[in-house]
Amino acid sequence: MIEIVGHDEPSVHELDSDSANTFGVQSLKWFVAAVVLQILVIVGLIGYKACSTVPGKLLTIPVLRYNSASFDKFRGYYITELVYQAEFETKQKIRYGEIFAVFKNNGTSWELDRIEKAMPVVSDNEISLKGRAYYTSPKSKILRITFSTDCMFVGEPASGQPANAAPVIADLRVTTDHVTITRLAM
Amino acid sequence: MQSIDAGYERFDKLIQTISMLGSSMLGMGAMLAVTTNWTAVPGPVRIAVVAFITVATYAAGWRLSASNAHRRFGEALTFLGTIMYGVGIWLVAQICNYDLHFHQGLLMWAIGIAPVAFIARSGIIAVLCCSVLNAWLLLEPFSYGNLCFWAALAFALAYVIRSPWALSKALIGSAAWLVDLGKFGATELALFGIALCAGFCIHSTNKRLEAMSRPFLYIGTIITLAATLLLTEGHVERWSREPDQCSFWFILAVLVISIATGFFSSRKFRPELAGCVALAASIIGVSFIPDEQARAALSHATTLAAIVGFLSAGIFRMRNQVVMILTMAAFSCEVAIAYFDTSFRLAERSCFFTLAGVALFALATTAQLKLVQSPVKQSTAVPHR
Repeated sequence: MIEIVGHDEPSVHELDSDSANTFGVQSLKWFVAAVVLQILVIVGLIGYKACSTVPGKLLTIPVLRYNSASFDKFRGYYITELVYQAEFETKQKIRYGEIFAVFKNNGTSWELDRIEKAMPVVSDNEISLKGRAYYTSPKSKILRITFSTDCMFVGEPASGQPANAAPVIADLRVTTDHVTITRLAM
Repeated sequence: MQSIDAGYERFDKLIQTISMLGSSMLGMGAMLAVTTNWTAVPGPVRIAVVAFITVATYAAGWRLSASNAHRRFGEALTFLGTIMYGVGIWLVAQICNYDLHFHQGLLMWAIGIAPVAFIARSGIIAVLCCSVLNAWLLLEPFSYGNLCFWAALAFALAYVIRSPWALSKALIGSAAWLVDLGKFGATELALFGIALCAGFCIHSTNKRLEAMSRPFLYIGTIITLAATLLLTEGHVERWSREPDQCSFWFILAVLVISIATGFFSSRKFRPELAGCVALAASIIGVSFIPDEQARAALSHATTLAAIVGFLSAGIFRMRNQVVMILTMAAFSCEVAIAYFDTSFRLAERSCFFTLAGVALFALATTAQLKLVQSPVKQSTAVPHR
């Protein structure tokens, strides 16, 4: 006959042996309650995000998504910056500095309307994005505007992928101090 | 019978260890799978899969824990379930793009698994819970409210489950908080270490708490010796600054309470506690000396006194190898620090080492003479080879 000796941490069932099955059933009930609590926490996290409506105007523009080296230990790679690139001429001297890009809805899509140095007053069919703007080269008409967004978790970048990936369509919720990416579509 | 029992126990431990390692590896694999953010599978499907695996591992864990033959597998599966719960939280936080500073995720993880650790009486889940709580506490900004909540949950869990490893995690977490967020200097840290050593004295005299005494001894020894060594590093501003009023009085209160409890609980004179009082008094005295060179000299003397005290306690009182090894490591560090301490001239350092060497030789000779005169020398003497 083999007898087990010297267990430092008895199992639930060993602890329950004194009071037969009733205590075991009680333990099972508490165990199930603990697991249900965990599931509720996860459901609550989903529900909280789903119910909290993101304020601001909806802006849909094509953007370049740069490869991100930012990495969260538990959630992987994320981006907090997007780049808008378009052919745009302005009489203003654009240096790599902080600007406000005003986008106007022309009925079908959003297009860059003007660049302002100070925060502009915009009409109902306009949205302003704060960012840094520069022309790709001194004689170029291609303007790039880099703007910060709330973080969005993305897939692991493939090795050997170019620094800027192909343009994607971004749905953005824009408030005075927040830009939230709601969707990035190819 | 006894050899079969011993063999069975060893085999049982081996199964437990391997299955726990397996659970940890599986959990890590799942966590990394989440970080890859594989967009080919829609988010709701990923969440459903993780939730299903979590519930399934819990159910299998509970079921197998009931049978004596597969008890260890059952515990390992329950442990895996607690990791999968954390994986679920981070998966949701990823898919819903929760803020980068989503430290509450760690708190939710810890609060969620604490009841499971308690119900399953699992030490390993308690260790995981305390580790996650430590991470949360250190990532959050300085707050006494957070500290109180953390301490209540971590220490309650460790003591209820009676897990020395979970207690070690909690003590390490408290020391890390004091250094990282509390901005404690070397003086306050040394006093905290001494308070832990006094905590060991309280636990070792109580039969119900004896099993939980070792973490206090080991972590207290490490912190005290490390802090006294840091006190000698006068040029490192982070450690050598004068004690902050609030943290100093707080830690002094903790120290006084633990030493007083130690004296009252044992109801007799204990040299270890007297040593704690003497060491604490000398550290406090040293930290308030305005002259830098005098402070440096006295801090070296205090460190050496602490080393001698711990060594004596390790050899004569506790007969504990770990304490002796830790003390010898501290001694090596102290010798190196004193040798290169530019606060003193070369001749002064030479005199210090020479005098200390002579003193130690004198001590060894006295001890040798006592041993020769002792009536038990015949029975305990080790033959010379």
